[in-house]
Amino acid sequence: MRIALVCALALALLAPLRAAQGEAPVHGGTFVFAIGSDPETLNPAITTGVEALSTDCKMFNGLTYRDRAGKPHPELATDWFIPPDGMQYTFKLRRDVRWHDGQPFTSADVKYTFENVLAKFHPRAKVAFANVASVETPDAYTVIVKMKKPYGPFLEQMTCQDGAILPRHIYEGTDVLRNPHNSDDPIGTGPFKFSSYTRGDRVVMVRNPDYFRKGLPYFDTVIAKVVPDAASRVQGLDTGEIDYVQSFFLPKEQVGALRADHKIQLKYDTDVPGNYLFFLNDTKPPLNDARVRAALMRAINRRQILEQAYFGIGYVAKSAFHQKLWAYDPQVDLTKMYPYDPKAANAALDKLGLTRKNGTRFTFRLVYNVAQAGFPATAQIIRDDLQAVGVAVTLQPFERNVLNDVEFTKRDFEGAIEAYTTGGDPAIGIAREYITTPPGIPFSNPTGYSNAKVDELFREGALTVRTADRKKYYDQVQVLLSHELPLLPLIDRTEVDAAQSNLHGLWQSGQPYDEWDQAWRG
Amino acid sequence: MGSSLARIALVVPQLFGVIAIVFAITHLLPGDPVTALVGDYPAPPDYVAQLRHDLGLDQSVWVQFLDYAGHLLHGDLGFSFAYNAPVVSVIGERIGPTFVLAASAFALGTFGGIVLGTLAAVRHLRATDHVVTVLALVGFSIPGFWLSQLLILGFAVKLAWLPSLGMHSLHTEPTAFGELADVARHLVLPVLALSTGHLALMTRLVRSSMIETLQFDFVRTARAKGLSAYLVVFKHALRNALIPVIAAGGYSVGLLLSTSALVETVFSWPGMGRLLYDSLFKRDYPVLIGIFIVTSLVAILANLAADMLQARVDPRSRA
Repeated sequence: MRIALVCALALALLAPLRAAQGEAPVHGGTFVFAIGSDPETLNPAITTGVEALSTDCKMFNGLTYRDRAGKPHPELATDWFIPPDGMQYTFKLRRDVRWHDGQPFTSADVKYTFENVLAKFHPRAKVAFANVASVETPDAYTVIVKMKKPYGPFLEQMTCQDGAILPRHIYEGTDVLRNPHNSDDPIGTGPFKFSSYTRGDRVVMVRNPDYFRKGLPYFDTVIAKVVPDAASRVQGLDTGEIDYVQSFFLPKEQVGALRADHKIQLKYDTDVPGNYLFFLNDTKPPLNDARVRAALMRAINRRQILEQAYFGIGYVAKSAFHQKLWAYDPQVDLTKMYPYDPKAANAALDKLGLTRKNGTRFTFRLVYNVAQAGFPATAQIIRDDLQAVGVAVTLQPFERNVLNDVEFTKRDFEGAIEAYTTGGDPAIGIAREYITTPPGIPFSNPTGYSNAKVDELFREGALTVRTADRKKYYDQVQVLLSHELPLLPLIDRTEVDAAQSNLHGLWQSGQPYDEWDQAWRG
Repeated sequence: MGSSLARIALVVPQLFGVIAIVFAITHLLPGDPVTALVGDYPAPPDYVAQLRHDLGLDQSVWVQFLDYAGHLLHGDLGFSFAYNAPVVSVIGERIGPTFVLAASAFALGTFGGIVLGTLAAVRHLRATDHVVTVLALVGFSIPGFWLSQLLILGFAVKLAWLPSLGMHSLHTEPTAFGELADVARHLVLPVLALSTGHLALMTRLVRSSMIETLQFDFVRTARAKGLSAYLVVFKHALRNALIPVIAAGGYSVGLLLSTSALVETVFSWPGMGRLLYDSLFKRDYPVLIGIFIVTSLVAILANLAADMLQARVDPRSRA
């Protein structure tokens, strides 16, 4: 009797656990995620805006999606063939896809989007398509892309993020940038269909019953809710009004509190890696001397920046390349080459003849985006560290739009703090930080640094197809940059998303703008 | 009548002045709307140039102003860069929620201020007066942004009585009547946050005006005639005490519209205040100017209405 009771009790205690482990996905319900402001557009093929892609990629697809390791998988394409020279991409398309208005999806849509939209209007994809010679459609379900020259990350850019496919019958013959479907009633192929858009409030999307992955999605409704205030997003998670906050919109100072909240689940490394960088104006003496830049690197306590400005979320940078990126060279470790050592920094600056006058060696204007979380604290730590070695730093916080003018057009600064994404590939997100760039191009290289060898290595890395071959070029450039230090890599970011604990099936792909066709509420 | 027409006629040059100043200021702002549009990635220069040309931003400021003024005469407020839609429709969608929020806050603040101010004046130098005075001081001093956070933490997060964001519940589909109740629930906290400053201002104004009025001879006469305290205060004194308050009420409308941007941000209220903030960061000049025109027009009209009401209530100001 007693044994029976114990067994019954044990079974009763284990029952919920078993249920949770083997829980079947539940259809229905509404999923609400927060975005910071209105989506820039409801057309994902003409933007790199986070709000837009977070929303639009629930309604649109690319030919591929990337898994959490960055590997491409079939989406609108079922398969692809690439010869070893990388001069041609043959995509075989799904035959069971229909646009949300019922029209069939065919290779004509892909050709139209490639030639008339992505190649012309998408800021990132345009770089990739500059290498394309022609797009051919031998039949309704085959697309052949012939290249002028190979381009390494071409396949990675076929995702919704950089390569969303648009309906030709909606866009052909119209002004793509002004097409009314960009702001109302977009027609995609994705798991959710557009329902309504109330500007400043929400975009409502409903289940697409004709979605090509049969039986999916699980949710009936997905809502992108505009929540401009970062603290309000976290409070919305707390009250249950918001289900999910993507890393880009999550205030990192709240992560510690969210970690202790059993109602919330946190997921790390949810986006392609990104960095916090300290750009220096390499055209201005004494910053045009790599030895001075090396001394400044030693003077800055990057560990303190990580702990105090970013709450320990991330890593102290080891290279020009994020240490979690496939192309990172473990032989390069800036933390060992330039450990925090103010005495050594002082001695190096003395040796370079930068003597102190009234305690100051030279003056330094540090510019940054005042609205970027963590930047004011980063700037203050850098100021204190540089002042300790005799560099008089003036902090100049700017609003983003003004900063672009000061930093990228006029280059009127000595130091600038920035957050850049790697885009998952050095050719997409890292090369732009180092290659020779004229003034006036925002989010590029504002340092004035120009090195023909660096330019060549990045170019060869981009124009090579096999990953192993590309990595050889990128290993070389990392070694070179670790000595030149045209900019000072500070922190390798870790992206962290927050969601209600009862949500399942999130984060299926490595894309930050996942389509959530497999998400459901338990 | 003539005086009223003269006041109305003054609205036109006032509005034109506002448009010219705002157009100049917005175009003098550093920063570039095209950069804000293309996202955080280096867009190819030819793409940026094309976008600039398409939006008419490659024209001189004078050409842009003349073009804008020409369209304005036809009632066209221009085209929003950021929303890719006519400004009239962009603002039109947002003006309703702001009107609901600001009108509720104005009504609550005005009515509450009259009640509390009168109560404090009638109980002058007694405990009620001291409590109301201190509360009004706190209400006047407390930053709206901070008060909003406190209200959310208290009533939405801790007590879970009221929603913390938006204008509608998102996880449920309300019925027709339920929708009204749903909006009302969402309205409570933002209205409290927005009305507090106005309530405090009205309380202080009504209190001091009422204290002064209660000293007047006509009030003493009314009391001597044996009228009840209620009639003396509400029929005789209050009408006179409200004369300076009416002008402040007109001024408060503009103030409420301008402070609603912060409250709308914290409560994710989809109104015009928040649109102003977004448009400023995106350098969406046509929307910025459109909002300034609308808010200026409302503020000018509110002051005009206050002037006319004051003239009606106080015969001395008709001269």
